[in-house]
Amino acid sequence: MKIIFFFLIPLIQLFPQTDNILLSQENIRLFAEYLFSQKDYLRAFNEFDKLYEFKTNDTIIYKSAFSLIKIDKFNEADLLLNKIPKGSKLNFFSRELQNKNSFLEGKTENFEKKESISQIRLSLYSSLYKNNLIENKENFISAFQNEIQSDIQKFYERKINPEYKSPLKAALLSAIFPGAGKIYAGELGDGIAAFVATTLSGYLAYTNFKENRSFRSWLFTGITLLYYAGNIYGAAASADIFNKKIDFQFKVDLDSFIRSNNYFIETPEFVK
Amino acid sequence: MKIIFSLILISLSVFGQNVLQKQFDYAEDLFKQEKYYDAVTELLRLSFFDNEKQFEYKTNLLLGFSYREGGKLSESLFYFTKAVLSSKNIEEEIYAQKELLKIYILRRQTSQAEKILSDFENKKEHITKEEILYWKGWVAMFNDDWQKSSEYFSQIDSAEILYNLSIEVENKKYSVSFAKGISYFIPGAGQFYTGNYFSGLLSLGWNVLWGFTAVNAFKAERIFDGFAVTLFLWTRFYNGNIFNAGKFAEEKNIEIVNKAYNFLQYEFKGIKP
Repeated sequence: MKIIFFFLIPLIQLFPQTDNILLSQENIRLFAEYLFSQKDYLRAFNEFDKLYEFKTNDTIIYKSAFSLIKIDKFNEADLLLNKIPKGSKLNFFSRELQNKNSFLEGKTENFEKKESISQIRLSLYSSLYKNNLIENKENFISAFQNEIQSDIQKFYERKINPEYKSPLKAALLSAIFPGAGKIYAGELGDGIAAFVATTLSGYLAYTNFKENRSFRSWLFTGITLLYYAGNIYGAAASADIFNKKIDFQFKVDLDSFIRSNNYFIETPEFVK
Repeated sequence: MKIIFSLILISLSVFGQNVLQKQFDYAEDLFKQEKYYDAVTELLRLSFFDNEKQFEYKTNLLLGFSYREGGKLSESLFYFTKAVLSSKNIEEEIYAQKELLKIYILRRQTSQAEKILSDFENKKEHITKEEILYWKGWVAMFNDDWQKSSEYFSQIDSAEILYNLSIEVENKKYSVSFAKGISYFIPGAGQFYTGNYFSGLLSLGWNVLWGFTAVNAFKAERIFDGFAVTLFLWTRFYNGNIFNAGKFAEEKNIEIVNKAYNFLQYEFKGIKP
């Protein structure tokens, strides 16, 4: 009996401690890793955050920062990454992640030092989003990996020679031939409709003038002028909209390409 | 020695269950306080550490409720489905299936909702005929079939409010085909029928103007003029009048139905999805 009690007492002492066993350091870490693997980044970060009460390590800091970037908290991610010391095995990867961060925040001035290949590539790539390209074609393309150079070349060429339509040319074409400007801007149906509406009302004005019907002739003349002016304005506007679609699609393609290439940065195995 | 070891084993298993039970109770508390995000986090934690899957059903059910309250119906659907799969007896299964049914109703996934209801038909010893008819009525309401829903609710004594609502909506709704039909004969009439008087008058006016112009042109043997006005002006306004009549009837119906849905969401006190 004494022996039984001797074992029971320590066991009873354990019971109050069982309240927090799921919140022990190791269990929080396990749960945080699980959430990270499930891409539940906000929850993963909240759990990693709890680990700072205990002792943390570079991998946890890196994963916390990675999670923060995934939920668009770039500044906070940067602050965390700065805590990884230079001597750490993850230091290189943390710099890479900071490069990605700078790119996503649009802070391309951070790449001016060109301290790494990823910085060079991100700096060049970010110039595709801006109005002027500085680098010449060969230098630009050769900075990237061989397997993606053909895609980079296409982006470069799309940037230098976008397939824009001139609004002035569209307006002039419609002034000469109603509807032509709209067809030039890619709006075939609208162009035909503009042509039919303008010429039909013009014809009606002409026939009514011939038959000396004063009110109807001026009515159809007015309608013709309205259609004609609208057709010219519409052609210029269509060309402008066409150009904006080109720009938008270019940006979408750029975003998609850089995401599929992991922002040209290297990441450790545990996040791949 | 055997007694000591048995005591240790029992204590450890009770100790483990105690922790998980406390974790579940904590998550449930968070749910009751409407802290749904935190409730989900604690339930996921419980699920992660529940290696024996002792709390699987309850966890999945509460996750389903938490996501539903947070407006995330896809996630809610996922967890209620998991609850159905992890149910240990027919009562648990039907309870989870009912919650799944409510999500399908809210998402207007009529065919999936009907599948569950036909499954219920085979389990009549566990769910009453009235309850099945009740949910069939809700499926019909969310499917915008108020005639059908009134037929279902008419068979349930306690569903008088819903029956009256279904009849009221069905009577108030405009007939899209009728609106379009009368517009074929009298341009603008369909729009008058739906209460859009100004638009109806405008349609009538344009059709009369271009019709008069076309007829005059034909009478004066200006055949080309007549064809041109008929093809490019008169038919355009005539077709537009029919299109508008249909469109306005549909818009009015949407308003009427939305009013009914608002009533169901905010004023109806009975059981609802």
